[in-house]
Amino acid sequence: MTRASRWLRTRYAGHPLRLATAAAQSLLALHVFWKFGYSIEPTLGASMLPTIEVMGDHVLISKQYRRGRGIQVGDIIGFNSVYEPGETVIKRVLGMPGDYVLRDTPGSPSSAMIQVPEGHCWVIGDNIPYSRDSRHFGPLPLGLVRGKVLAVVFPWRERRWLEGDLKAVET
Amino acid sequence: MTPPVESWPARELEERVLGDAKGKRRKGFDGDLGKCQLVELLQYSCEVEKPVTRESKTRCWPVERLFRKCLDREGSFIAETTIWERGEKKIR
Repeated sequence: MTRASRWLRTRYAGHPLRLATAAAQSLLALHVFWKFGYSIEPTLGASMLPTIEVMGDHVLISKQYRRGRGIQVGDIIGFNSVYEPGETVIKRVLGMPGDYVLRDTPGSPSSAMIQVPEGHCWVIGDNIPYSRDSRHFGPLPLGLVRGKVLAVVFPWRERRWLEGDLKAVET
Repeated sequence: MTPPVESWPARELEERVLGDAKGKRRKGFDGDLGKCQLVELLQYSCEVEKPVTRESKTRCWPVERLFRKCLDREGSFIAETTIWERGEKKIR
C-alpha cells in the first residue's frame, strides 16, 4: 500500500462526517474554479464555422474576462443566451462601447450603422448567414459575458488557439 | 434589456465618429478616418453538406469587413468602414 492511500484510509475510513466535509469542500472549490477560473465546454451549431466545427468541438473559456472585462474587438466570447435562459452562446465581438458597426449583414442593401452603447458589445457569428446575433437582438449587455474563448481543446488532435482575428492592412 | 439604439446611414459615419458613447464630443480626434490604422476581419458564409456530421464537407466564402482603429484622448475606438472605404478614399 502506498503512503497516499494509507493516509487516505486512516484519515477518512470510519469518519463519515470528515469525508462528507472534504467532499463538499472539493465540490465548492471546483465550482469556484469553474465560475471564476476556467471551464471546458462542448459546442454545437454552425454559427461559428469555420473557426469552430459544427459539432464535437470543446472550447476552453477563461472567466477572467467575465462581464466583458479586457475584451477587445475580434475576440470570441461565451455569453448567456438572450433567447434560451441558461444556455451559453459563442460569438465574435465586433464592437465595444463607443465603437461603430454595420447594423445588418455586410453586402446586404442596408447601409445602416449604429454606435455601440455604453456597457454593451456587438456580437456576430463567423458564419454570417447561419448565426443569430446582434443583428437580431441588438447590442449585448457586457454583464452577460461569461468569458473569453481561448482555444479549442478537444478533439485533442485538432487543438488550436483562437486568436483575435483583427489584422492590420497595409495602405 | 437592451437600450434602443439609433441607426443611421453609413454616409454619416464621418460626422458620427465625432461623438463618443456618452453623446459628448470626442476629444483628441480630428475626425479624419483616413489617418487611422486600417484593420480587417474575415468572416464567412459557409455551407455544410447534409447530413450534418463532423466529417461533412464544409465550403466557406470569406466576407471581408474593414475597420479603422483611431486614437483619441480616452484611448482608442474602432469604426467599421466596410462601406466607407468604397467611397472616395479607395484603398490602393
